[in-house]
Amino acid sequence: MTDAAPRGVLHDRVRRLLGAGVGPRDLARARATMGAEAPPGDIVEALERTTPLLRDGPAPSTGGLIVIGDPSFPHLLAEAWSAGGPLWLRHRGPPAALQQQTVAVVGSRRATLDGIEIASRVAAGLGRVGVTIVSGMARGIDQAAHRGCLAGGGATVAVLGTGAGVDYPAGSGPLRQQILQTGAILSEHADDAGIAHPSQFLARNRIIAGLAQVLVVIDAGRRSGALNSAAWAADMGRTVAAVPASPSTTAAAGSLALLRDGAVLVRDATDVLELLPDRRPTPAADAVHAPPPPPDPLHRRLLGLLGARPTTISALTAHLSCDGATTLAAVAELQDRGFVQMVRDGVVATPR
Amino acid sequence: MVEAAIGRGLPAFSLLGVKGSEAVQASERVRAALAATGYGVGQRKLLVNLAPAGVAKRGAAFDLAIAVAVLRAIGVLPPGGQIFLAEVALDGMLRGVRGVLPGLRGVAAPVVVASGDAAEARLAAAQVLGAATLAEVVTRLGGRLPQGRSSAPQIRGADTAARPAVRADRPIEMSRIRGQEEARRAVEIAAAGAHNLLLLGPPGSGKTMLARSITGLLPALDDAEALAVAAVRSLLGRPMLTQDGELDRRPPFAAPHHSASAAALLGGGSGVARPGAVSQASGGVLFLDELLEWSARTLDGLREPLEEGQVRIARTEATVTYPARFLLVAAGNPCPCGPAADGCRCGPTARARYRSRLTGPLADRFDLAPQVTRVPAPLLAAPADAEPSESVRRRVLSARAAAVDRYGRPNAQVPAETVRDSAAPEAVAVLTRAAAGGHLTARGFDRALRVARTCADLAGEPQILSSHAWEAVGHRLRLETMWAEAA
Repeated sequence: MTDAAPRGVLHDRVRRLLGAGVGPRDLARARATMGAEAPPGDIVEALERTTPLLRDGPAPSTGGLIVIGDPSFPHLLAEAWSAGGPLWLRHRGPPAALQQQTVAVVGSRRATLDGIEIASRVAAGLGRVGVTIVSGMARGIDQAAHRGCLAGGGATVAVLGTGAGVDYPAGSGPLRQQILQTGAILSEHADDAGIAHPSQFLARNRIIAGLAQVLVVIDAGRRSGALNSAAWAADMGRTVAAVPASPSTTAAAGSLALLRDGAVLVRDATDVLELLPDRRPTPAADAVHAPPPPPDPLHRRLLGLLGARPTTISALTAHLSCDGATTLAAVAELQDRGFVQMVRDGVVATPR
Repeated sequence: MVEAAIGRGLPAFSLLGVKGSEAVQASERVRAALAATGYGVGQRKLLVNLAPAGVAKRGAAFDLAIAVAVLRAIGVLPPGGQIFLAEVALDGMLRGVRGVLPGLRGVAAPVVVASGDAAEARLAAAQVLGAATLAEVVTRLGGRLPQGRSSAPQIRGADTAARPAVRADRPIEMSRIRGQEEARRAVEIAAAGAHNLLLLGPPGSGKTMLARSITGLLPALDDAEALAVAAVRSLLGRPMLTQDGELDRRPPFAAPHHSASAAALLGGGSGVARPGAVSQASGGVLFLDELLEWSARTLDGLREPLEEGQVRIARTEATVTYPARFLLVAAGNPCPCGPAADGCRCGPTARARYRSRLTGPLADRFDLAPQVTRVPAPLLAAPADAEPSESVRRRVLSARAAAVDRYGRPNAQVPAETVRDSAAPEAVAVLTRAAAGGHLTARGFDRALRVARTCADLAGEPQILSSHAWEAVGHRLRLETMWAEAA
């Protein structure tokens, strides 16, 4: 609870407004009427004027509330006010997570396996050196980034397009629990707010962009939410980076378009770290903890044939000049030892 | 039993012991046939009884018996103990009927049938007389024809010809299947151990070819199995003998369409319960293509044949049991998008919904679910030099023989604890390790053990070794990956 933390002058007034049912749509309307340049104080006044049922005293709320002007309100996000940043955020989780250097990682819900693996690796590498990863908890790239960062031992922040009490995306409960141990779950919405309008996700993207100095796009489709996040980041003067992909990958057409428009090309965590101010790239970020290779020469040859994209048993058998039975047995043993993973489209080497 | 009597009274031809309109039709047919043969019975009162009255009699198979009973009653034919099974046409010709083979099983008495059914009847009975016309029957049984009549058929027609022979439907030759190492091995294991097989892959990836190659690996049917197959075909009015008039010993391949009703698949239908596709496949392969399109209710009915090897169809008057012991092979797409050429693009909820529809009643029936992939173009153009069916079949046959020797039945039907006895400790350790590592569920352990037993049999090994166990784990991993929900 942030009750004990120091607050800005607007905090209690915003808390009362939220208690009276004011939400992000009201905020958007007020800002549209008064112009983007209008300072937060004016907006709060306007909202108080137009909101009936305003009660005295702080309104009840589960979880913390941070309002622009509070010391705990992230500095970068406050800077984004005139570009459309939020007035308040409901949050759960230790507040310290919001004070670290932050990189946003966003991408498609329907990402390629390759993209997911890269997102995971980049997030892990950044998490390992203490960078906070912020993303949107969506399936695909977002969740891969959250998980990768946690796997690297870092803290991650998720900004939701719904209320924090709603199980969206379905089944994300366990991931949230993990995130809350070291990071934060943020939302502009009341805890029980569901998806009233798809624009909620576009609105949430501005918060993701606002929290980070650098926004990394991985596997964005031609007309995807990730491009929307990139647009917000550009408006806010942040650095937009993208991971390249083959032009035949329709899933990443948006990423390539961004690169043509001037986004920075990044391949891994080290490249991303170079973009952060006051950061020296450390080799530790991309260290690959390689386990000793397996003793069996056939197993070693098999591993050498694998990449991030799945390889079929048939292809492996052909290249190894053995038979299907031998290949299957080898894959089973290698999976047991953690070197490979059988996936829907074949076999992949486990990311290390 | 058919008995006839001539009585006083107005001319009539009454058929007793047969229900409703069938009685009228039979009596009309027989009366016309008798007249055509030269025996007008229109002026007499005839009573024919089909005993026992309580048992249902349907169809025209009793026509000949009725005609002979009448001829005996009017003194044209001597009494005798033959069995007559044929329909009569209005002109006195005899027509074949369905179900001759099953109907005559275990019969000792001499049998008279239409000439087209003679070959079939000889499979069941020792003494068979095939005749083309009622007149021929009269002559052959020692009766005298009226003057001027001959026993030769007046019209030469298709009715006197033998039934058509079974079509030579060849199974697919395995060397024609390119690539697909995983699926080929799964096919080999399925054939050797009777493990049910699920083929998931994009359209055009060769699932049907793989399914159709399996009967080419199975052993020829023995006498009992071949007779059962012939009996089922007889009941369906389908060809059952080869060109040379022999029993067809090739394992059958039945591929019903997914719109088939439960009765068409399992057997049934109103009136006489006809055998379904599961019985047509008995001794061979039942192939369910487009698994997703099948109704879950229909598939539910496969439980009995899969567990018991037969289907029991109950009717008010009797319960019929048909054989239904087959290897189940199913095929379908692994996900709604195909999958598309550059990888699956389905969202996880769509995939999850698709998977749960796919699993349904057959969820735990498959031991193998290899990945069937699109074959890359260069491989399609390459020469067909993969291992031919004949070579694979040799291994399969010796593996099957080993299993029958050891357990009396194929490995897939043997309890896991029994199979475990023939596993080397190192092999059990492999499976235990895989289970401990979360790669195998308890059920997966048992299934993998059986598959490992088949792998060992294919290698000619009496004991299951760790290499066989690892391979079985590989197949199980693949199956669980194909079934698994999106992560």
